Amino acid sequence: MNDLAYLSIAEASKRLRAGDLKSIELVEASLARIAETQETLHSVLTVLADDARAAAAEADRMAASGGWKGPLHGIPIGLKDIYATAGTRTTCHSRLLENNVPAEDAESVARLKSAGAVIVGKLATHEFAFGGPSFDLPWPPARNPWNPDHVPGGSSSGSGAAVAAGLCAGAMGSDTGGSIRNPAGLCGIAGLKPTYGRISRRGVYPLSWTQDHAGPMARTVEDCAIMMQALAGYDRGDSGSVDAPAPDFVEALTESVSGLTVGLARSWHEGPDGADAETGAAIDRTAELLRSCGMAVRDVELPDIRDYHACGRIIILSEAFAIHRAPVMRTPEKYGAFFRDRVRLGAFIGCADYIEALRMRRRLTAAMIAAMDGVDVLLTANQYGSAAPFAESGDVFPFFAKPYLTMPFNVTGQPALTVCAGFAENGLPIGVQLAGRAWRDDVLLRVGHAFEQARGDLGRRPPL
Amino acid sequence: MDEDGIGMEAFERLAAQVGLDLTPEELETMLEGYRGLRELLARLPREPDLSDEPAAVFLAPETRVVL
Repeated sequence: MNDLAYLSIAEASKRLRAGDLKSIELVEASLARIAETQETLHSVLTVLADDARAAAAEADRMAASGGWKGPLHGIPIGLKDIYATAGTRTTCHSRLLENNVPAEDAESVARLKSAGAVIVGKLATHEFAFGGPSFDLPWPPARNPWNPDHVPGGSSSGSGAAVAAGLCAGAMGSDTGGSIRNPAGLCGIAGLKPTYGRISRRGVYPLSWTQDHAGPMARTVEDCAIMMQALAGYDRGDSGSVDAPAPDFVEALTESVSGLTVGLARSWHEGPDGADAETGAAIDRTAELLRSCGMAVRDVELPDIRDYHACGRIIILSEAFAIHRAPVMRTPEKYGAFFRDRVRLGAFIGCADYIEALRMRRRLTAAMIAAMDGVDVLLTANQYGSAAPFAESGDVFPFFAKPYLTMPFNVTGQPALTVCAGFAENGLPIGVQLAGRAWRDDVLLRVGHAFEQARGDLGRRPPL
Repeated sequence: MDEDGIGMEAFERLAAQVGLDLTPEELETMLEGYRGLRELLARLPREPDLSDEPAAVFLAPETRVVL
């Protein structure tokens, strides 16, 4: 294995800028990792070797003549295959779009390219970011690089697996009920669901218009901040985009976290149906580390998570069914069984119930703001335990078993970040979730970065 | 009729009403999902205050304009 494949974006960027490293070396290391892991991980649907080599060569030529696009200049990045790419197939991991070749890049892809990023591949996802892990699609599901018998989480499954295994330095995911944070946590990397409206979703295949978020996944919080710098900003082509000034996310990492207050939400993960003991211990360790950084940590009582879960799930099912109604009624056999059965539940939700869920969302958002009085960032569990084996992941409707710990922040739209807090005894990563106030993605990233600095390098890489 | 108040026959009619053409196996699966969905729907407020503003008008309390 080539160590270049595991350089952080920040470190690779420094070396590229200093002339100690070339983009083509990074891209070759990335392509080599894709080749050597593909049979096991299945995390890449389309490898863009020629395009990536050409873009890297251009980045190197530019750097040699003094040109520099910023910290993403020449950095290999992967895209969940629901992000439209001009001239390159964008399948949503579905038979229905197996040969779909968009004419334009998604806005976020265009922004990454403008910032110098080199796109190395289109990554596996749950079908249409909702149906998976499935074995009845044209491509197999991505697997967890820490143990391929276990799921990588989803729906940004390929993004989580690819970043964790060094196939790319960062990747784009999407998050409607936890689809960035779930694979980030289960694969041991960082993933940010930004504030709703912060990153354009134009050209990202929708699952739920009012809860979809686009966001970065990387091996460090600092790298997520670097990606955010390129991604954040208003886009009139996305009806959910908000014309709000974007702070300097990278500069914000250098500010002190001393004096900030973290609210520890125990009620969501403690109790007989709560998280396992190793997850609980990881949260306690995280709280201690945050204290050691100068932050105050105090318990907070948050509203009942089951209300957020119900509200968010009803909205997702309603909107997803509206998007897929015609093809799923006409040609259901073209979808995988998981997606088909899940999305058809939306047919049973009446318009009054959907509208009531939208009204409930407003009240739940107000309740969360009130609960965060005097608190800058919340600390919660990200999942109830480490990644499950594939053999235990055959539930058609997994969202009825327990409330998703990530869903509340899709409902409220506030930013939420997953960071790796350690490893379970079985060697699988354990993530924890931090959530900030709306539009304070910068504060959230600062806290996550401070945590990672205090935690130190965990000194582990997936054994692939 | 089962303990959840809907049996397979009634569910089959309901599925047909909403336009779903399901195989017997799919009906079994979807009935299970429908029961889970009903539990979620039960958490929605049933008697909303008529003075609530229309849905999709979002105004966070922090930004509410006081006249």
